[in-house]
This record gives sequence, structure tokens and C-alpha cells, in this order.
Amino acid sequence: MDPVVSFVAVTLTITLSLGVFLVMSNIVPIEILVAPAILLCAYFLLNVYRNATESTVKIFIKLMYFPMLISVVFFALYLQLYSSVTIFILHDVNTVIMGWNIPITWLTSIEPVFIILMAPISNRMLSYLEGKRLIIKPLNKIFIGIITTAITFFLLSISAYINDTLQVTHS
Amino acid sequence: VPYVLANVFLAISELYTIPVSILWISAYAPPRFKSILTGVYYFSIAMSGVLSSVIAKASPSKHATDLTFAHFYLYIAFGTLLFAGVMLLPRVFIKE
Repeated sequence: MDPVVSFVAVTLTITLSLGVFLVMSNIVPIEILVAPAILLCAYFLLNVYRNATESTVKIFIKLMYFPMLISVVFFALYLQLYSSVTIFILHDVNTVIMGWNIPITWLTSIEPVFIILMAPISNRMLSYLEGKRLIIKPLNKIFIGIITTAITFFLLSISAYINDTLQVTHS
Repeated sequence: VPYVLANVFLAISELYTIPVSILWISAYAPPRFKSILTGVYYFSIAMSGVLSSVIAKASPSKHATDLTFAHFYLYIAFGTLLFAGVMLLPRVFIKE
């Protein structure tokens, strides 16, 4: 391995370990470590911007705007499954089915099962559409993804509404 | 049933968002900056944790009576649709 690369790798590992240690032991607030990371990203982006051969605005939109911004929003919503949705299930949902109390962590962990189930179905559907000369472009796929996230929260809202109605009826 | 359906839709959205985003970056990034931009992409995912905590903090607590979970999730759904609409605007100028 190139000695420079090895040196950089070792330095980065030590710095990262030190950073994690300082944050974990509450010596340094996490914001102090996040700020250099943001600056580093800005520097890299500036570098990309300077060296771009294609129209720089288009590269920025293509690489940063769509996948990254959408991913930030998507993951922020996806992580609700393990925060606000867990609280919602904990306080408002009756998890007892036929005398068996389903653990809350099980309810929030069924999503990966659906990924495994849906992946081949989704692939078959895309292949079928391709056969019909209906090719879904990558950007449109990302938009389908964000719209289905909105549908997810509509369904969660319906779930919460049904639950509220049932609680009022019982009381 | 709506909760299970919500999970199905979340799985679909995950299948359509994450792999395509990574593919998009690896396809369009200049060869010199491919790994850097992939790193920036993962950093943006890390930042989404911060946004997620902000949203989670706004969720209704047991003591709050004015905001229910039904309304909270409805606001998120409309917010996401609005975001998708805003993101679609520059999409008009992009040719794949």
C-alpha cells in the first residue's frame, strides 16, 4: 500500500476514535465535531465544482440536489419508525392479540421483512414494465419513493385516527 | 392493517430511494470524485438523523392534548408531498 495512503488512513482512524471518545465521555459536544465535517464537505464540493467539465450547475443539481436532499428527508422520515412511531405504539396501540402481547420492537422491525418480500416483486414489475416499453427513469423512481413515503404517513395517520376513535368509543 | 400497509409502502419507498440514489451518484459523479461524493452522500444520511430528532421532538407527548398522532402524521404526509412538489420543479430542466 502507498505509504501516504497508509499514513492518512491511520491518522483518520486515530482522529475518528479520539472524536468518538471525546463525544461519548461528554468532554466535547457533538456540534464541535460536526462543524469540521460540514466544512470538509463544503471544501470537497467546491473542489468538485471547480473541476467539473460539464455544466457545473447541472452537476450540482444531478448529484447533490436530488439524491442527497431527498435521502436526507427520506431517512429523517424513515427514522421516525424507531422514534415517534415507537412512542405512538407504546402509548396508544393495543399490542395484545388473542392474549399474546407482541413486543413493540417486533412491530417496528417488520419493515425489513417487507423489503425482502417486496424486492423481487418490484423487480418483476419493473421488468414487466420494461417489456411493455415503459421504462421508469432513475429520477422518477426517487420521486415514486418519496411519494410512497408520504402514503406511509397517510396510512399511519389513518391508523392513529382509528385508534383514537376506538379509544373514545371504549371510554 | 393500516400499520402493516404503512410498513409495506415504507419498504417500497426504501427500495426505490436508496439504491437508486447510490446508483445515481456512481453514474454521474466525475471519476476523480466518485468516492468523495459517496462519502458526502453518507454524511447527508448522518445529518438526516439530526432532522429526524427534530421531527421526533415535535411528536405529541402523553401530556399534550392539542396535537394527536393522527394530525402529526398527516402534517408529515402533507409536508412530504409539498417537498416532492418543490423537488419536482428543477426536474423539468434535467434531461436523463
